[in-house]
Formats: sequence, C-alpha cells, structure tokens
Amino acid sequence: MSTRILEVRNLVTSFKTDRGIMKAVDGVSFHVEKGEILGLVGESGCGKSVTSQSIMRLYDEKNLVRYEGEVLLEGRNLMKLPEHEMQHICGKEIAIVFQDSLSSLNPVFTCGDQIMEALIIHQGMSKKEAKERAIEMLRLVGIPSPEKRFNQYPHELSGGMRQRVMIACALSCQPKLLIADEPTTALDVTIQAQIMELIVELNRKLQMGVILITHDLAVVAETCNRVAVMYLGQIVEEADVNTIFDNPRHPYTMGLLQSIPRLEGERARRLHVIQGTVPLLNQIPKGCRFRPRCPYAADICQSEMPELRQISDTQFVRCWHVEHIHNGR
Amino acid sequence: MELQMEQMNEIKRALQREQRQLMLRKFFRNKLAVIGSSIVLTLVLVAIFADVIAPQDPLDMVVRDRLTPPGSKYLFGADTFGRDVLSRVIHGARVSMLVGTCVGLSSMVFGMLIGLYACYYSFLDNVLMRICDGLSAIPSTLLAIALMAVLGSTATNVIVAMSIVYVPRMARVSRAAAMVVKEQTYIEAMRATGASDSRIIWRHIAPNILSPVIVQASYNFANSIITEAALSFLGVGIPVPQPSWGNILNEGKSVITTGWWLIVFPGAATALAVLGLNILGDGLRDMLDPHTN
Repeated sequence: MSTRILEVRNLVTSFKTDRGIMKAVDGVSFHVEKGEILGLVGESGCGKSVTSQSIMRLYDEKNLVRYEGEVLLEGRNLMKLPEHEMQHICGKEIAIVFQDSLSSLNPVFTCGDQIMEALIIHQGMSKKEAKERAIEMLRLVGIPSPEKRFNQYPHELSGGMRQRVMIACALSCQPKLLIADEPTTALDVTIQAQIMELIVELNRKLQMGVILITHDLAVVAETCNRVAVMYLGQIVEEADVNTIFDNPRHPYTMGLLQSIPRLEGERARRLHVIQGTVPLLNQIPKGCRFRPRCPYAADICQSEMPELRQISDTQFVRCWHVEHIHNGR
Repeated sequence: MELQMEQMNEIKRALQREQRQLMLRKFFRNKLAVIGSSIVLTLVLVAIFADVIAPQDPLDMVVRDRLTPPGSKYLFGADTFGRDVLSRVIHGARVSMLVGTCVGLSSMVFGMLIGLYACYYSFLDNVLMRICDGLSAIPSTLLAIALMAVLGSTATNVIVAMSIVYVPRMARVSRAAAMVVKEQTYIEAMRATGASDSRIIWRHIAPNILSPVIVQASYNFANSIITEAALSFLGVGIPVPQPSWGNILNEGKSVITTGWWLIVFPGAATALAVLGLNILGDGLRDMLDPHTN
C-alpha cells in the first residue's frame, strides 16, 4: 500500500466577478500517491490550472476567490492553515512549474539568484551554501556548464533552458509534490520530450508526487500512472492510464481520444472533433454538463447531474450511460 | 554537441557585449542627453567646489562697491550690499543642488514606498492614493508656501516641504509601474515559492520599476530647483543672508531698473540647471524605455 501525499476532497473554487459568483472548480476530489504522476487532462477553460493553483492557495482570498473543501497534504488540511504557515508549505513541500517559462523568471535577476531564493527562504542557507546547491540543481536538470549559467540572466537562455531553470527552482527544496502546469506547451517538440523525460526521471529519483496538467494526450500516455479528465470544473472520468486509453467510458474522454490525428487507417477519414466549445462559466448547462456536446445525450441527462461512480477498482466515471457505452460503441 | 554549445555561447556573449555597447552608444548618440548630463555634471562640480571656485566670500560686503556693474573686478557685478554676485551665484548652486538632490531622493524613496504598498495591498490603495490625489490638487508652489509657513523657514524645512509636494507624483508613477509588474507570472511564481509579501515587494517588484522611477526623479529634481527659487524669492525659502538663486533675485527686484545683473545671472543659472536636468531626464527615458528606439 503506497502512501497518499495529497488528497483533495470536494474542492470548490469560486471567483467573485462583476457578473456574479463563478465556480471554476466545482467539487473536485482526487489524490496523488508517493512517486506517482497524475495527469490532469481537459480542454482549455476546464479548471485544470485553477485546481492546481487552488491547492497552493495562490489566488487572492480577500477579494477574489473563495475556497471550499479540503486539501490534505500528508493529512494536514491546507485550507485551514493561516497565511504565514502556507508560505512555509509553498515552495518547500509543494512546488509549481508554470507553462510560460519566459515570464516565470524575473528579468532583473540571474538564474542562480532565482534558484537560491527558495533555498534562502526555506532552508535558511547562507549565500555560499545556496550557491553550491543551486549549481548542483542546475546540473541535476541537465544544464551544461552550470557554473556559467548560474550568472546568466533569463533572456540569455533559450526556452528549453529557462524551463529547466524553472524546474530547478521548483525542485531546489525537494518538494513532496510537484505541480507541472503545462510545462511543455511553449516549447518545441524535441525540447518537450527532453523536459518530460527529465520530469519522469526526477519523479523516480526523488520519489515525489507529480500532478501533470496538460492537454497533450500523447504526453499523458507516456508519462502518467493515473489520469483524471476534467470538464467544466468537474472530474468526469478518472482511471489508470491504460484503462483511459483502452477502455474510456465517458463520452468526453472518448471524444478527446478520437480527436488525436492518427497515421494508420484510411487517409481520407476526417479528423473527429467534439461538437461545440466549452461553455462559459456563467452558462453552465443544467443536468449533465457535457450534455449539449454529447452524442449520447438523453432526457435524464438534461434534468439530473450524474455522480462520479466507481465502475471498477481504478475507474470512476460521471455519466448516466456508463453501462451502455463501451469504447465508443 | 559540446563544441556547438561552446560556439553558441561565444556568439551569445558577443551579442551581449554588442548590446551593452549599443545602450551606451544610444545614450551618447542622443546629443541632447549628452548636453544635459554635461550641464548637470558641471553644476554638480561647481556646487561641490564652490569654496574653491568662488573668487570672493559670498557674504563679504564692500559698501564702497555697491551696485558695481559687471566688469573686471566683479565679473557678474556687485549687489546692493557690495557682495560679489558671481560668488553668490556659485554658492547658490550648492544650495540648489543640495535641495534638488535631497528632494529627488526622498521623494523617490517615499514615493516608491507608497506606490508599492498601494499596489500590493488593495485596502491601502484607496487610502494612500486619495491622500496623494488631495495633495496633487493643490498647486505645488502654494502647497510648499503653506508648508513653509507651518514649519518655519530653514534649509531643512525647505527640503521637507518640497518632498511632501513631490511624493504624490512619484507614488503615482511607481504604483502604475508596479501594477504591471505585479501581474507578471514571475511574481506569482515567487508567491508559489513561499516568499513573504515584503520580500516580493522589495526584492522582486521594486527593481523592475526603477527605470520610470529614475526618470521621474530627474524631473522632480528639476522642478524642486524652480520651486526652491520661487520660495526663496518670496522670502519663505532659504533664510537670508545665505546665498540662493531665489534670494539673489529677491534682493535684486527692488533695483531691477539699475542693477539688471542681479536678475539676469541667477535667473540664467536657474534656467540652465532646469534645462539641463530636463534634457537629461528625456535622455534617460529614451535610454531606459525599450519602446522608444
């Protein structure tokens, strides 16, 4: 039995906006185990990033946002912690890598300075110790001649290098949980592969839990242990990675999988698309949220929202028609 | 691979060197900026070495020579008490530069303080910025006179009063710049790293807003020289007999028809100083702002 690092229970994140309160995350529950990579998948605007940033409570709670539910980091409820204790958790126990590597680094400091920040804040290291450690971190994330890179500014590095520096920043205090929020979106394909390999390798080496947020299903297939599919602030399907790809049970998951272009098969076959777009948060449909775009929609879908039901040891699905749908048939 | 990297680095380093040189060249190619900075530099040197340069003691009265027109004995003439106007103008530069520097620096420090905290804490924003609005609503000279009336006229109070006058502008500039920086991902990344608010404000936001702040500080410097001259001219600034450009003008106004040199030389010195500082400010803006090319 492996240990759970993070457990999220019924997380609700609602934003106060001019047009009323909008729930960007609505009752999300999942967990991450030690040494595990959990993929969080969905289209843009499904609440993946909001979920991850809510875990770290990065939004302005005084004016902007209200959290409900529990986020348990090794049994400790982060939602109940006062702000200054939360500062000890962020960066030390949980770290995050953002997708935009250019704007994630402060242009007025060298890369080394930025890696040292977390070490000085959390470990109380002296500048000299922190520098040694930072160079070690740069080497760990595969940056050649780290001593030189230490003194370079972010604009002097390429996108892939900057993302590596970001990962070095995130990992400098050896967090128990790493949140990677679309870490490879801004990079080209070869660099993408390198960065993903690096994350997987470090995940094995340091035995930390990873939440990988992405809309690239190929990346998910290669790296994740388990996958949670999100749609409009809810998890619609959760399963281990093989089940998701071999036996998806939610129409949205199937739609996502069918939307991947394939090389084999009929050339003339048109690429499958999911009809419509993700609705805005103030236009959430009644009943099942995916209904307006779902090819299997029936009357019951319109009136009642399905619960997330367990259908096997590892698979959970939020759909009324689970029994009738098998792999798209 | 390693060799390639090495070459790439070599190229990059060369580019950086180029860039640094480009920035300096940009400054030197901007003729106005060079003129402005040389004027300011000259005045600063004059102010520092006033005792050495000035041909006579600025307070030394030779009653026999009162109102001597400019000539070989008194290059800028002598005033109503027979004091050397050149020496007084030179020592006046010291006062002006001192006041300008102090006001420029203190308005920069306090303006940034207010601007940064107003930007970071929304509950402070309204309070602080409305106070600043209120202060900006009163014409700066009038406000300075009122403050001098309350504080009493000493050189230190001139600096204090004018800092109060110029802080709101600086607060506005730094708040606007900080608002932009605050929304950047790297600030969010720092919060995700667990940095405390004050660390984020001073270590991560402040350095990123320095360029507009420095430009505004140079304008504040220039404006405070004018305001100081105005205060002294009105008799609420630097106390007489200490020489300041405004004081010399004040003493000259009663003999304006006979002693034109008492008005022209300190007036020209003030104009020159302000011109130089404004040109320097424009040059700095062009150099520091990436949007102007």
